[in-house]
Amino acid sequence: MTGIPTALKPPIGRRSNLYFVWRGVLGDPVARIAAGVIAGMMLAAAFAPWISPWAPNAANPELRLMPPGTPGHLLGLDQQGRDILSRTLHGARLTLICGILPVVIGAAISIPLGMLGAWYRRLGAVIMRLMDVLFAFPMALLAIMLAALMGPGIGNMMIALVVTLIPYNTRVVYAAACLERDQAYVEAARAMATPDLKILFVEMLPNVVAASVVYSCTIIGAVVITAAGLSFLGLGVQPPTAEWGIMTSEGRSFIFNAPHIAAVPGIAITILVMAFNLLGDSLRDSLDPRTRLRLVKPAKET
Amino acid sequence: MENLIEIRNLSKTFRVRRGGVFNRSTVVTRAVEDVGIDIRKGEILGCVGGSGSGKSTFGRMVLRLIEPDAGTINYGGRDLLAYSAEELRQHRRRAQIVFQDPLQSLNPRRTVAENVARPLLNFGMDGRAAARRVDELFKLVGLDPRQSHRYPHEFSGGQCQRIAIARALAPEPEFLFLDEPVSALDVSIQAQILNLLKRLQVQLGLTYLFVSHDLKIVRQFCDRTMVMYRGKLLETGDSAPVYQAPLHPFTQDFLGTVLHARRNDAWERAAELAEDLEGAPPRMDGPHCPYAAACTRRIDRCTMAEPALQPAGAGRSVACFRHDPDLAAPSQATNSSPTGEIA
Ligand SMILES: Nc1ncnc2c1ncn2[C@@H]1O[C@H](COP(=O)(O)OP(=O)(O)OP(=O)(O)O)[C@@H](O)[C@H]1O
Ligand SMILES: [Mg+2]
Repeated sequence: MTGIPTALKPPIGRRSNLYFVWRGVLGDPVARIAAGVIAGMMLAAAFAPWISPWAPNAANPELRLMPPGTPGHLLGLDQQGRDILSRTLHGARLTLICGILPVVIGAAISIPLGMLGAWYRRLGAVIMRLMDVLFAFPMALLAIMLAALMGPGIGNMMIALVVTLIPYNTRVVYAAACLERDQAYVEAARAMATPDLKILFVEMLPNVVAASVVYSCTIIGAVVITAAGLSFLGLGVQPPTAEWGIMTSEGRSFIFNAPHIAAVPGIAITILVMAFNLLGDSLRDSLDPRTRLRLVKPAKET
Repeated sequence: MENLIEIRNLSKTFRVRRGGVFNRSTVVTRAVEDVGIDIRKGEILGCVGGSGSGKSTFGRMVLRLIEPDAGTINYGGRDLLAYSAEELRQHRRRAQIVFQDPLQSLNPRRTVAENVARPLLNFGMDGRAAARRVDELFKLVGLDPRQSHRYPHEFSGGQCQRIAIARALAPEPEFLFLDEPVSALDVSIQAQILNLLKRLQVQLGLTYLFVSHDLKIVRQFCDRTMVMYRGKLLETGDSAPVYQAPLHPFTQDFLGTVLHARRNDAWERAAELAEDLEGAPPRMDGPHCPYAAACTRRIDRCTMAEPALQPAGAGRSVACFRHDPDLAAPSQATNSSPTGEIA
């Protein structure tokens, strides 16, 4: 009966979004550096046990608080005499996971939520009122409340972060989808008997998802910082574990006599957050067909 | 000629809720009221009227993109409003739409080939056959199929409109609703697109409902014309007589303001004047002619009852008491029509 349309084979000459993202990022020096930094951090995190000179929790109390440049300890030692370089490399693992995973999961939930809300208006009203309730709390406070309710632990912290992120991302998606919904191409799709779900997730999704990707890149910074805050309060990652947020807060007490303890992981967080923000900006351009040609081939051809 | 679509008493009222929970108010717009007309097979029916007179709403209802509140649409002998979901889906092959802004009506993140192929895929054609048909359609509307992997913004407005037309023609429809298809284009491009539409209409035996602000275009392009004002149908008839000797005072004023000023190239001003006609004259209570407040040839009856659309000879109809055959007293007021004889 209903002829379910087959997937459209890309005609020859058609280039995928990923191609343009790839070329766009390579073509933009700032994005290239940002992507390089993120890739470097990911590699460092992945190979931390092999490349770090010391075990993350191996303490050498005689050398505690020694500054960077101490022989064998490039970035110095912390208040317990643990090697900061090793801890930073190991810490990258949890920091990256805690920053990225909740954002990805949050986006996976809020994209369908926001789009269905924009399409089915009754449902949308209910969803957005619910989001308003979550919005009533500041991001950090909500995360703290949820994490405290569920008890300490990395898993619970992640859940708390996901729930905290959903209202923000859903609102971004909802706003973008509402704009798209009223575009003529959506009405044209209806006139062509495109099924509702196909209009939403085939026609509108690429236009909406770009907004969400860009937003997600910029929110990763806030998530890393919130995760660090939760860990600091004892609700997330537990102390002996290496994680940039905890390391920064532990170094706080020694900020005057051994500033490097807080500075090294703090600078690492700053660089990570900046890299994601810059990458987000570049992605916005390369995900948009109206601007990306300029990125790929510098104005030539008609 | 046989009728393709018979529309009777079609009405649509938009209710937009404003305000929050406590001070909620509803804005009611009677976008289309009691419009009835036949669209004949193979004709181009022009639809003119000021901004907000309900032309787009009317056309969308004929395509069932907007559900009418009341009235009937008989399409090819069947009641369109009684179609089941699957019947309506199949019906979408037969009736298509072309929008005013060509760039906006194409999905910006899909190549134009994907845009044009979408209706084909929706109706079960496989990818390869669809790709071949897209090439055919591109040639049909005068575009190079080798450019079909590009994105809409890489084309000019006129080219985009050709692509939009190709997409509308993809499922081989018999009826097209053209909602101001050339208004967003340069004057030089307008003629090309109109020629294309005319050629396609003859070649494929299409029926058009053509909405435009530009009366000159409607007059040249359309076989018949319907004049709308505030959601009501005031006058219909073959294009030539409607433009040469308009019967309804509104049509006379509308043509007068627009066409006269156009001769002086003051198109902008003319458009403004045409908008003024649509502006809000004082609301009257009770039934009355929709144009009564601004009409220069008003008689008492106009403020007391609403004229129905009546045949006025030679295939024309008009909703005006002055032309009502039952009311045979049109002699007392002899305001000559200001623009009765525009050549
Ligand atoms: N979805 C909607 N919700 C509420 N009001 C609407 C909606 N669509 C149209 N209207 C109102 O209905 C009236 C008729 O609108 P319509 O778009 O049919 O006019 P039009 O003759 O096509 O005008 P234009 O020449 O400017 O395109 C307008 O007053 C408009 O504000
Ligand atoms: Mg319109």
